[in-house]
Amino acid sequence: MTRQRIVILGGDLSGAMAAAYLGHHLPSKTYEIFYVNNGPLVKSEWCASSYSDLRKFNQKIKIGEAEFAKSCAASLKLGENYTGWGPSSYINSFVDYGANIMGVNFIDLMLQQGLYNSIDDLIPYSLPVRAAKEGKFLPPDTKGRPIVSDFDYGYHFNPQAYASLLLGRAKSFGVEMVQTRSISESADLIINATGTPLNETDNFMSWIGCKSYTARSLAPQSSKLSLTTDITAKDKGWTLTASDQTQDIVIDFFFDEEMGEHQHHCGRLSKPWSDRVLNIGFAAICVEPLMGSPLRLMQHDIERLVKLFPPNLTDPIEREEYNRQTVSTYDRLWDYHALQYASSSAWQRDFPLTAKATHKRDVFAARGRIVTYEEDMLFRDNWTTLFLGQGITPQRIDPFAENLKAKDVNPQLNAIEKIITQALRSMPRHEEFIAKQCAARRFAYK
Amino acid sequence: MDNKKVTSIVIVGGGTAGWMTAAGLCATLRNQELSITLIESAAIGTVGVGEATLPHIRFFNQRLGINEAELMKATKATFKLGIEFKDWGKIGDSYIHPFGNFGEDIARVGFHHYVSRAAQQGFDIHLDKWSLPVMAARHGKFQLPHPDPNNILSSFGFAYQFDAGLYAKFLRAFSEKRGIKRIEGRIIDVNLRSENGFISSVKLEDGSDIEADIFIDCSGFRGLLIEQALETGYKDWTNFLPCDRAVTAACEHEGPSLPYTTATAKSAGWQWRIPLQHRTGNGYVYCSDHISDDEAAASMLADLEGDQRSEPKTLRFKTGQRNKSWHKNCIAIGLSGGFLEPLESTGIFLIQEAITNFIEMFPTKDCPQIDQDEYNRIMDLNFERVRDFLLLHYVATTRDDSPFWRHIRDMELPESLTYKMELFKSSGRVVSYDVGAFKDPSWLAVYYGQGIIPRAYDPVADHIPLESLPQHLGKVENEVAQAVESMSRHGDYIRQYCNAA
Repeated sequence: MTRQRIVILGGDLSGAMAAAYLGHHLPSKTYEIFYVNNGPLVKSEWCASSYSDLRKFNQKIKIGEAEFAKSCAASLKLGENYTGWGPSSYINSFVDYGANIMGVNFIDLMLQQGLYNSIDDLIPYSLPVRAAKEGKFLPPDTKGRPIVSDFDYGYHFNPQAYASLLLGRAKSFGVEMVQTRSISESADLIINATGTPLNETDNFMSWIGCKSYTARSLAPQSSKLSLTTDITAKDKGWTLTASDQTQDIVIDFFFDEEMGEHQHHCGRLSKPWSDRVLNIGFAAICVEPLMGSPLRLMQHDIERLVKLFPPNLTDPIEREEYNRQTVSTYDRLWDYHALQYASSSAWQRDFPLTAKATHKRDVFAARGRIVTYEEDMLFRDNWTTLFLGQGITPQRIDPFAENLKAKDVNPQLNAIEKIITQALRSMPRHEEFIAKQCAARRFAYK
Repeated sequence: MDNKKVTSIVIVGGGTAGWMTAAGLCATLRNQELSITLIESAAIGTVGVGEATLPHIRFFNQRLGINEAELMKATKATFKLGIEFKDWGKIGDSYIHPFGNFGEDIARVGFHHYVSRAAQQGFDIHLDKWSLPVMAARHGKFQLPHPDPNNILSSFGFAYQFDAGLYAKFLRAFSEKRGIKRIEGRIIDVNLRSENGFISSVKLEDGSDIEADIFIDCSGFRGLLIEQALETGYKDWTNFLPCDRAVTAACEHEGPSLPYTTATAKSAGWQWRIPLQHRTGNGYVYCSDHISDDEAAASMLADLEGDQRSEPKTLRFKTGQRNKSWHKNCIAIGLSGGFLEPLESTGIFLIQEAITNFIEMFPTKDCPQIDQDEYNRIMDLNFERVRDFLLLHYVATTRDDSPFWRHIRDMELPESLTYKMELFKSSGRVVSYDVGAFKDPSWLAVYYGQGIIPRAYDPVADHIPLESLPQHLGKVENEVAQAVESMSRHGDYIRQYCNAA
């Protein structure tokens, strides 16, 4: 039996991720995989800040955490710090706030008790937010108590180094590295990770975000290694700052297409996969790096591809299902970005929302519930934080919260706060943790 | 905010839907200053919907704090591990759709892909032997799941087969004890508010007007409030599910006590068999275009397992869903909200979903549109997904032995279903969703059970060497067989756990 030929056209980080992941998962008896090297990474800075689930991706392809952190100069990330977007700055982390008390959602409870005036009032009840502010880090103790063991974290890291690590892993899984694209002529499946769609006929659906950017890497600007990606609203756009172990990555995004060094157009293909060409990464979708979105979509698209991999690559039905899931995942994630822009008081500009995004915002504004759609990638309280952080406070609260008594609630709130305080006391500083566990050769915070 | 607070709810109708709603509301909203009144008339009969249930009902009862053994005793209940489908894929077939998985994933690939791979080497494709609840059902065994999730004896869910009339009675006592007011009377008129068309009150035969902020319509098919008063409209799905009548009767129980329901496909529909502790419930669901009422009744009676215990009763229905389950200040729960034939015992499940979602979206007096929209969105998903799953049973067949089955064969199907089937046929992938009663294992059970076998399997399954595959599959089969051997007989278990006699 001849093997099916898969050719990955490198370009952005998704190519290296696909090479390692496919190489590990697809049996080499039936598939031969080629990776076409294409020079330095496209939009590499956009991938320097992850969501928490990158950890699972690494686990699946047997990349250990210390190995990853050392070779990619990774620092730890507990959330994103949004400044200038809403009335005060706020951190969006990877875990829900507090805990349900007597069956009542934590936010409803705070509102009902009159303890909520701004999102700052929630800080005492979030371990990752407090740890980020204190500059401390220790991975969750899986055997610990719920409040202090159920948080999660991501990374700030060097994407170019990650690509090298992934390609090394891919080679060990039998993926062949080639220099020319000609091999794709005989491919059964071309995975286009070049950053630009291959088939021009595909419809591109545009979204309104920023239109240009300038990216820089700088020597560390602070003596402390931040545990958050800083997302700061500016007059003409916004700025992302992410610090790995050796450098700071700074990207300025502008609404005006003339202001940045590079232009970009937010949007997605209506059919990322058609015939034998599958577009992934920036070739399929351009979404700005809020909550690690571009990297996260690369990861999920690759995992989805393997989950739905067609035994017969000429069958259209798996492609159709891949496109259906992928496009609605893109759209729900874009809803988050659009709401981030549209509900901000930083700019007087129009940002259109889908009907689903509007419904989500309106249900929250009316009664504090987060509507969940299928293919929604974000945690409930990622949305809650976005809405509250930008000053949308629910008009009504859960009727179940109405009769809670302060004397029953307060001891529990105090207990949550105290558990977190105790946990923080035993956590090392972020810099100490890295120095001890996973410092890269040029670690800058020794 | 306080003047907008809902202070009164009237539930119209006291069948399963009415009393489940009453019990659900009074248990979860007990701290609210809320008066709940249920109006029912003994003169109007109730339809004993779905004497078989889904595992979800246990969570409903647990939330109410109901003791399981006590409830089972009071409703003469048996345990249910699944449904046996006979003669569906073709005449002579039999499979069980269980409350549980078929084997565990291996290397993150679904177990059934390995089965498909082994089948290409000539192995038997029947999934039964890898499912504990199926094998337990086939052997008439039952005991409560083991508390240790690593023990194979924990690998199933269960539901009940009970007398729905007695369940309603049980919940009535529960609700009345908790302060629900019951009014005996027939409603002769519904008064609407001129400014917004909301229901202001219902008028009873004795001339009294009963006012409330919210009205819950549990009046059954006719939709006394949601349709007769508010003219909400109905989505007709008989083009997909053409059965429109059922004839029912109870009979004496014969043979050992079985922990499952049976649904047997017949020439113009299908017949259920639901074993309770003291009798067996039966009903023939049919399409009146293809069989007369008398013929259907005769056919149903001819298939009874024991002596007939009640006169045949005929019901008429129209499969479909109310355009809006919640319209203005009226929420339609139960048959007034929509009807789907009880092929997969979804009647009580849909009632429960309606109650749970209503509590989640509990409104203010003005019933904001946004609350209605979110509630209706979730209920529509529930109904449509159950509809497609039921339809799969009719479509996944080679039967064409009667005009009814030939009609089904030539029917145009919803694209949502043909798409799912195409994907499965290609490589055994199930189109998953979050909201809805039936998840991947249920779809697998029906696909495989009715002869829809994927052409290929997940290529990642090739990582396990072919030579070791029989050993992997055989190991699970043995574990299941040994575990079933160790279980109690269903009849014995009922006798010691919840004997009604």
